[in-house]
Amino acid sequence: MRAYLRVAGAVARKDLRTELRSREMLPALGQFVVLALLIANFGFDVGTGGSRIAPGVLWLTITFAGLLAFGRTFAAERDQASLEALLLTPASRAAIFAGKALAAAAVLAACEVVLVPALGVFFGTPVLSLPLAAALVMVTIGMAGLGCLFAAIAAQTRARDLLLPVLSLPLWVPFVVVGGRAVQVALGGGGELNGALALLLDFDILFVVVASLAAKFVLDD
Amino acid sequence: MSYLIGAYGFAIVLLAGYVIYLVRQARSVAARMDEVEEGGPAAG
Amino acid sequence: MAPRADLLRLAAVADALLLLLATGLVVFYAPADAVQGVVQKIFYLHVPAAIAAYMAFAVVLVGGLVYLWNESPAADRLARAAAEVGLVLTTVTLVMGSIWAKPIWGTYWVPWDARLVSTLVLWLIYAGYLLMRRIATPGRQAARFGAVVGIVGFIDVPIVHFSVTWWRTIHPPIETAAPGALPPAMLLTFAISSLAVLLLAAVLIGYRYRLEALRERLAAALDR
Repeated sequence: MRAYLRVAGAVARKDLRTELRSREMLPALGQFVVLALLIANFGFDVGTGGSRIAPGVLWLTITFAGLLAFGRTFAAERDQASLEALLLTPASRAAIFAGKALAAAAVLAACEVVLVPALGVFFGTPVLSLPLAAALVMVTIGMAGLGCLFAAIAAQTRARDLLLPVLSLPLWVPFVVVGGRAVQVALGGGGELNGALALLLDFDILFVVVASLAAKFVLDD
Repeated sequence: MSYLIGAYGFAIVLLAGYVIYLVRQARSVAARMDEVEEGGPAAG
Repeated sequence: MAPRADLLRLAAVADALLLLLATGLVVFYAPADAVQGVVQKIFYLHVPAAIAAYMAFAVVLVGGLVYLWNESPAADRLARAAAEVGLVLTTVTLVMGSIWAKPIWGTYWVPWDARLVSTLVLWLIYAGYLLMRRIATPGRQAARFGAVVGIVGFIDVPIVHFSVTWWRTIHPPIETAAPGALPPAMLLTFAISSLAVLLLAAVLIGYRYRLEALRERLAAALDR
């Protein structure tokens, strides 16, 4: 167990350090977020009440930002053929996968740090909201677990950009349904939040376990 | 009534179409197989 | 392991007769529903197709598990065949259900109906599965990916159903026509049509499996 945590931590640190050094993905994702909000600003009839459509805008932006972020985690390794090198080490596949998923979750979380204030500017929603932060953390963990599993599959095929959304988005539906409700409540929609958060936690546990078990078969050869 | 006919019509067309697709695929693969087995190197 | 051709043909002929009988029962024997009228007869293919689709996807699940356990190519071939047949049956289920909903609920789509949403997600998952199988280079890796998607996808569907049910409990309830106990004539028609559709699914999977095996043999012959 300690070896597992050490490997996962090392892989996550490696990925994040690469990202911080190259500074490619985070600026791109930040720009994507602002642009998505700008499009939503004109695409939706904001006159009917910006705060009512804000949760939907947030969700569309997060899911697509997630696809970009998770797709890169394995695609970049694949392009530089460093995934093979990583897999040649005696470290367990599940630990390597956990590390990469952790780094990807951190990148998506960084993206949300841009998204939430920007949403506040464009749609007048609360920025510093503990319920919103809690819901986003829960959702990010589960989405990263599943998303990275399919990103690992997609990266090892042709046409990986096509495959990742097609595989990930349907499986994210439970998070979208329950997380969507949690975000609506957190952004002032009224209603009870704890039930949704508890459910999201259950989903996180389930899908992180499932993805870790499956990682062994996806990261082989 | 038109809803009923529409629903069954769609289902029958889809299922029949799938059966036809399977049969045609099977025939073309079988024909190709015969070619390869008879023709030997000619069938690259 | 491959289903024998003569047995498969026998099953196909038997199922053709059974389908004919089921059609006769649906058209001439089953009474029109007191509340919904004849539109209710959509149910005799809609529900069996849904059951058969779930069974087909259960075969994908089991095929995937067996493949991960012993890497048997036959298990993977079976999973692939079942995924395609399951997708066709899910399409039947979705479209028929949507058409039924229009006169009964007044709309083709109700976003808070758990069955509707989970069936759509089911369709999307296995459409993704089949797309992945087409894109991935055939072989051990593709089979393993297929097993993973088939297993994780099957786990996801009841959770989607549960999520939407949960979501609905905190939303204003909607009225749905609750079906009472079925009269015997309807029950008999339903039983026969279910049997016919389940056998149809099995026969289609059998033929699809043989096609897949034939394709693999052809590819191997071309390699030589």
